[in-house]
Amino acid sequence: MGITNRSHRTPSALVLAALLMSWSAATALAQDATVVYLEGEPELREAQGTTNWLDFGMSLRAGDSVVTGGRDFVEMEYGDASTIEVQPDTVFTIREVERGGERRTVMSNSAGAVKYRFNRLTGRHEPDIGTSSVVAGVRGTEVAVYAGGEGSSLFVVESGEVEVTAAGRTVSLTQDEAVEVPAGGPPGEKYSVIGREINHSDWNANRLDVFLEDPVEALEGVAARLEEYAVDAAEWYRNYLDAKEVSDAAFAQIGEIDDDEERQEYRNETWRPLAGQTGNAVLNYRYHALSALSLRRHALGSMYMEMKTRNILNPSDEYKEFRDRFAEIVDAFDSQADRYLEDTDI
Amino acid sequence: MSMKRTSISIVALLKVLGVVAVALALAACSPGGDSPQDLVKAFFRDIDNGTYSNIKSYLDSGADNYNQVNDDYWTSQFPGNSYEITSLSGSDPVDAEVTEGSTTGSYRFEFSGSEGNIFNDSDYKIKKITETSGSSDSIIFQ
Amino acid sequence: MKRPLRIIATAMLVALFAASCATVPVSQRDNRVEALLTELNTTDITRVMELSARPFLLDGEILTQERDLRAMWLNLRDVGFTFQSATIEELGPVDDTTYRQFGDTMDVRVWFDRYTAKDAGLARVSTTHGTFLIVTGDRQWRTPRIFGFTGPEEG
Repeated sequence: MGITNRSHRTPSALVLAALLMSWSAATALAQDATVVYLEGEPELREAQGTTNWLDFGMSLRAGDSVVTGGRDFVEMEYGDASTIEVQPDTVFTIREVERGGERRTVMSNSAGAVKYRFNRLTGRHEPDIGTSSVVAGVRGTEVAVYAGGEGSSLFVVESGEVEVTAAGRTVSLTQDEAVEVPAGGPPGEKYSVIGREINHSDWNANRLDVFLEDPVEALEGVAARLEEYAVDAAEWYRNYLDAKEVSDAAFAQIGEIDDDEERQEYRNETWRPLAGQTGNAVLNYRYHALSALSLRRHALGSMYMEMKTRNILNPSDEYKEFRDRFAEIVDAFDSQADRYLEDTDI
Repeated sequence: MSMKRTSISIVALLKVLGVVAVALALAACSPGGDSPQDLVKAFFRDIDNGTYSNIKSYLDSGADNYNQVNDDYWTSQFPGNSYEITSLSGSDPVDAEVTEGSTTGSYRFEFSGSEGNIFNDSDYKIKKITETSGSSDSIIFQ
Repeated sequence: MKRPLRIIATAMLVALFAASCATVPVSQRDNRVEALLTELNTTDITRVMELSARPFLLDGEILTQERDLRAMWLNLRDVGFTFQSATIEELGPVDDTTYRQFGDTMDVRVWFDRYTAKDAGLARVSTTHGTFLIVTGDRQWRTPRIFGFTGPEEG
């Protein structure tokens, strides 16, 4: 059987160009973060879900997390001259996501604090940084990122530039400036940190006090951010399904081509980029789902623990309200978890 | 004389038995585990059978995107179900030519890990898969 | 029965008794779980943390961080909570359906599947503050560790 309708099997040039651009981005090489110094007994939670003690010389790659306890500290080297300092009581994770046709490394701490020092000379491959709630772009920067137990984030810039975007608002920070971002909300007003000593423990204790003043409102912030992740994951999942339909159709079309050489060319030059696009959509819906899981685990879980243990003997009305809303949020999360997550993610 | 011949033949027999015993012992202790080419065969067998959950066990967990690839990912990259390896060459990397239906795909597999010895099995894992069929290489997994 | 036969029979009975004792892990023995609860109620937080496994399951929530686990025990102490006057009502091995008693979610199912010990036990414990389900497993010398709990049961 010959080719009956060439346009049927060939996407428009524009779409194909976009897909090719997207697929070529997948070939960008990511850099590893290598442990150069550590204190205590920090853990390495690997992508496949196993946990081991972290040791000197070990490398973290996408999907891996470093988990520190109260007396642990880890310093890693990233690229040629950038350093990452993971402070005590922190969960630090490296992931990858495709944005605008470019594969990006995202470093985030869903709990605790991380200090980054990116050498400007490391160039265009500076990763995005943030918490499980918000991600920021950096340029030649020394910045500390604090994650609050109730899902809020604090960015403190020592040098360079940081752009923090959340809930449709962007705040640009330069030297000695900081901004706080509530979970699910836009960044607040930036402020100067000159003469102010900020440490994670005090800041987090303050965030806990704020949380306990109105736990249900804090819950709504995390719920809003989880909803955003759910929307993003669902959108990328739909993209995946759409891309797969086009890709599968192209794959089926391969068998319709009589000429061996033309068939092979169609497979390699038309179907393969479509398959690449489909694969990227999978990686992206997984990115959003895994980010949601981090927020659910380290912010929502922490909030539940604080409320449950303080109310175990005499549950207050506020606690009952919190518990009911919490159950709704967890139900909403779980209703989608099976689609996007795997057992090894837990 | 006959006694001497008998004693020599017993010694020779013992030597032969000793060699056989050592050979058997070495064979029993020889390294196990899958070779890189075995892993490539297992990979396409699982792709063909749709048993994607097996694949993770022989991927390098340190590879980027290890925890982001899933069944949806593999079905998007290998949508057919009649993959047949037509040629395998090299030990690391391994170049595989594969037919699916009436077309051919060429893939390069790179590995981490090492060959085993009499004490340990080999521990090879796939760290990178590149499709090399087209005008430019496409990285499937790394 | 002839004497040698009696001796053999007695020896076999003793061996059988010893073997049956050895098959019940520490984490599923009443007196050892009682010892765990006593320690959790009375000992210092450092020791309580040693007896607590991570990730820890609190109701349906998985606590992965040392900080959260420590805060959990400190908060419970602050409000005056202990497993006071604990009586073990039931104690047995964890099985494939146990997770539903903590929550019918992916998190809880996977936690039971991946993070409990091979000798995991489930104790139903009544206290002056209500009835709790406690997951035990592993051990520190002769004391099992606590992997998680849920409660007090309502109704």
